[in-house]
Amino acid sequence: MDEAELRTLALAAQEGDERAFEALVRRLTRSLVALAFRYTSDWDAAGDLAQETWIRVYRSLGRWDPKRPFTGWLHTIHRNVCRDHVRRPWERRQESRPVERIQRLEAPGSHAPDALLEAREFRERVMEAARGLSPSQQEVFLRVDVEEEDQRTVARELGIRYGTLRVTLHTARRRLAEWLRPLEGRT
Amino acid sequence: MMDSVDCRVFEDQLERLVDGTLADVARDLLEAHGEACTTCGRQLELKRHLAGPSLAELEARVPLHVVDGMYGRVRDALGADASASAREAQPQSVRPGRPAGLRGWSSLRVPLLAAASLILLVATGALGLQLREARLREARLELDLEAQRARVAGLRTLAGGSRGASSAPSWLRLLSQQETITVAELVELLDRVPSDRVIVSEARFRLLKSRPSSRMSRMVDGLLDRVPAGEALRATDLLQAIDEASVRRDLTLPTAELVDLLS
Ligand SMILES: [Zn+2]
Repeated sequence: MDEAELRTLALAAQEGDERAFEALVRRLTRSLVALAFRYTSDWDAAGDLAQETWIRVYRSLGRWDPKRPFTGWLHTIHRNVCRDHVRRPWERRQESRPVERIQRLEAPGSHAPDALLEAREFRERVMEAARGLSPSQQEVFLRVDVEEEDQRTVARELGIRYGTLRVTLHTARRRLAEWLRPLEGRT
Repeated sequence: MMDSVDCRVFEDQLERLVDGTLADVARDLLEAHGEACTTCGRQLELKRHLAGPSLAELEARVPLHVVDGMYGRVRDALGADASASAREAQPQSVRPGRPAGLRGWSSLRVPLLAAASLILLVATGALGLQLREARLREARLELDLEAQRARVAGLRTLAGGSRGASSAPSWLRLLSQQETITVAELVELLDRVPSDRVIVSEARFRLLKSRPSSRMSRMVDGLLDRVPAGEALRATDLLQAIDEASVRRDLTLPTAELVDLLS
């Protein structure tokens, strides 16, 4: 996908050209859904997140700076939509104890009758557990392990050192692993 | 099989273990550790699972019904404020380029003091430290895993014993027991002392400031001038400084001079 071509479309959309906006949606939705799927493990839910992103993009298109790559701006918004998906339910039920919920975390078994469903549930629980991480741990974990972003790029974008990112990432993984641990005794 | 891998080494190599780019020997050692150590084993399980299909693979698999009609659904959802004028009138709180949840980082920014201290430590000549290049850190696990593990274990044992209120920190004693230490090992060591442990006292630091080496660059002088007086250098400052300056982890420091500097 040619960035210059997308820029032309985005500029036109910014001017109110509906067809240009539609073209952007047609061209870029697939990549948004793929990223969202890493959060949801569910295609329809991923589609909902992509839709939410397009709505936000449409409303704030006037503030896209044409000097910046359109896809970069789009993905920043999309990441925030996906993050909200992870955070929102947690914020809604402040009263519940995170650790109690997290202890249900369980890795998918190899003898699962429905491996796909198990994989989805596992990912849902990982996301739920991720809500218990500190904001910085959550950010690093989601961007590196969920969104597959390059670690040095993430460090640069967050304005932190690579070494700090590694330490943060390791701490996040270790905490998630600790939360996975209580289930070992089961079965 | 005897478990001979440190958890930190395991965590550091986790990606490579999952993507299969490790040499057989290293992989076997790490996997043995993963089986023996629950926390590391779980991290491996988690990482393997999350690695799943790549984004490119997923993109190819997106069902048509999710993509088709997206524009129509977006238009419907936008409803009344669909016109371009409504768009202008409805600024949203989306803040591109600034991911949420990052406020905590500002407090992690490297203080000037630490940056200056690092330059003091590694820039040179200035304090008599000789730096020489060693092998790449990534290659070392494969080449020298055993030796690394033994040294790290030694570091940990000694550093772990220093948490009591002893006057002569044992991590310094440890330093003096080895002729050289790599930056990676220094980091391991610093990681294991309390992060607010003072590494260079205020007085000592004042002294260092008062006699800058002639070889110290103008930049270092400038940095030092801006370091607030009356601040001590803590373990965490030094760690951050080492990271900030992108010091190669495989550089080897002569411990005698380091001990002299830090004690
Ligand atoms: Zn371990």
